[in-house]
Amino acid sequence: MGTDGTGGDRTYKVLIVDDNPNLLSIITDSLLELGDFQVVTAADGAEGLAAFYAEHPDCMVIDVKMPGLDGYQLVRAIRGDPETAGTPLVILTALVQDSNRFAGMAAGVDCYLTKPVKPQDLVAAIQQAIARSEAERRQQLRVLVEEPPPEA
Amino acid sequence: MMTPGLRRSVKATEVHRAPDVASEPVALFVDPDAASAERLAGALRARWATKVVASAQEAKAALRVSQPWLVVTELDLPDMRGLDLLAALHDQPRTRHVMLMIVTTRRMISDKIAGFQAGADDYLVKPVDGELFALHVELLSHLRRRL
Repeated sequence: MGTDGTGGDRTYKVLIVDDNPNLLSIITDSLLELGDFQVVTAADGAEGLAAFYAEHPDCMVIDVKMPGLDGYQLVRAIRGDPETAGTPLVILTALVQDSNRFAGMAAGVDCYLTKPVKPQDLVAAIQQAIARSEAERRQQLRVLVEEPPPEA
Repeated sequence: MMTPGLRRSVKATEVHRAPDVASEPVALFVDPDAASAERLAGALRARWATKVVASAQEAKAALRVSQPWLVVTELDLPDMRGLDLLAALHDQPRTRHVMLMIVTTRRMISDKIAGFQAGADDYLVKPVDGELFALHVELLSHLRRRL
């Protein structure tokens, strides 16, 4: 994978799911500026799930608080199906509490980022998610079960 | 989708209990595919008491006797839609706190959305790996305790 967020000659398709149209626009512009990404967007969780099957993205960036299907549910819908479980998934949310982070990681997300995020950090998270293996995802769940973060 | 023959052949099984655990939580599996349900129940038995039933009516009878921590249901049940069973459990004060998981052969987008909207905490498409299932259950338990 190159430093510009792309995989050498390959362009990665990223699906961004957020119910804030301004943020969708800002994130889209940032990714297009920083790397050779192809960006598609969806405005809520249900639309995001439909777009996932229609677009077959290489990675998804998902907000949490959305109408219909929230971000955690969207992650579980994708992780819970053996045909789609290996999809790289990043949560990007305004929810900053440890309990929210734990809920995201427990749902199986690869990276949990909080807003506002530097565009370079988002690109790095997308790269990290794409590079992850199935074994690493399984190990994340084992660690969370054995050593859950302390309750607030 | 289960065959009619499988549905007819299944009967409710006894509650299995781990011998050295005094008050383990109970997981109720509702699935006409007994082999699938028993396999996943087996993945939990180190820490959970488990009961497997084949229909919504048997599930309701079991719920009148004891209160499980977890209900795992297939969407295709012989006597009721799994979604309706979930919604009923989610809406009743006595069972609203129960963790609800869907384990199903259905993978349509509309089924997944409807499942979560009916109150499911998780949605797994068969075939489900036993260890992965147990990890999902334990993490849901952690999350539930934090609410």
